[in-house]
Amino acid sequence: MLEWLYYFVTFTRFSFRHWRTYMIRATSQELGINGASPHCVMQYRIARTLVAKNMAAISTYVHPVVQLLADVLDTRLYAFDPHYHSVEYQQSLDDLKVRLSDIEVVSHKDGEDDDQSRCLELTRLAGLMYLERVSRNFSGESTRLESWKKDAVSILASLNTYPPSFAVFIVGCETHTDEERMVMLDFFTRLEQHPQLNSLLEAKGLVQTAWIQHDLGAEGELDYIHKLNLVLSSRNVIPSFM
Amino acid sequence: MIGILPTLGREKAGVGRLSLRMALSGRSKASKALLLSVVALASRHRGHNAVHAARAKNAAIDALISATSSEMDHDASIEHIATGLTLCLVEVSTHPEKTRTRLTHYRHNHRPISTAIGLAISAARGTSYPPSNRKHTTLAAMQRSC
Repeated sequence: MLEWLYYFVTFTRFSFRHWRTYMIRATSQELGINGASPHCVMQYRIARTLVAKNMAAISTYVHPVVQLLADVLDTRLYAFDPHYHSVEYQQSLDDLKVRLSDIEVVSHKDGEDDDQSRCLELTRLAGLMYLERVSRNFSGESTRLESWKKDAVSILASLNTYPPSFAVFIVGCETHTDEERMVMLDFFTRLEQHPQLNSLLEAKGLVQTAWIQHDLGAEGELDYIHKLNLVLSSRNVIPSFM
Repeated sequence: MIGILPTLGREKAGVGRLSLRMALSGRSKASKALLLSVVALASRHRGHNAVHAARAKNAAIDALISATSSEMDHDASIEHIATGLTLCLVEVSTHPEKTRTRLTHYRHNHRPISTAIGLAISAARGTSYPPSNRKHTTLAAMQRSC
């Protein structure tokens, strides 16, 4: 149960890192999003009260992929942070990437467990993408990102269970070709036939918003973090990524 | 419902089975709150009767509030956490467009779920969680008023 709690808190932190942040204030005002409305302020106050702050004590109960993802979601967001360019901090990002790259996701022979292993692998790849895009503040293209995306899309093409929405959303943000997006849409359609929580529909809507944002934006107009912030902020209620 | 609870790294149905065992044990007020929250989630998930789901949710929140106490033992604090997380799922499982105001109301002066989380974490560490006399909002009261 503590593992479940850790899981909730980890993905809730992701929502709060990008939903209606100070950094998109100028753009959000143009779009009519009022980040200072009582509605938003209330959601932040509640979150600050409810989200447990020190989860290190129960990290031993969770799968190492989730633990590493929690570390990734704890990295600094913006390059103007005073410590962002320090050697120690950059080294810690390198270490995090190595640990996330080297971690073994155990595969089982049983069908359902195999799906769980692939969910873990998908989440691991999404964590690497997020680390590169957000923690490294990289908005361009790279062979490494292309390779992670290819592996992730290939997992989604045959996955029969619903992974964390975080993983689906981050991978979805990287899919730009018709073929890749067809795989994503097929995945959503296939899973909609199964009993699911509505988080599937919410993730689908957010991925489609990200596609629109990407397709309408001029090349190099907005960096990745800014786009991510805008997509999440387009919802009046903090999106859930569990 | 057991198989759809979001989790990662363990058998998918493990959390659901554990929740049901705790809910059906009836050993504490918190376990009864958990049972009601599971009923609310199942009812919301089936989607046939929103009124029934809301009634079960409100009953779960009432039970959770009455179960909250600094005297909770470790098992009860875990059941308390499970109830809070299940109630979160009840809210999340509602279509986002219908939940725009779900966090806009709350009440003061109830012991927070973070107290139960602290108790559980302390139990895991083998240390005692300092008794909290802070006044916080509670997830339970917040959800009840929506």
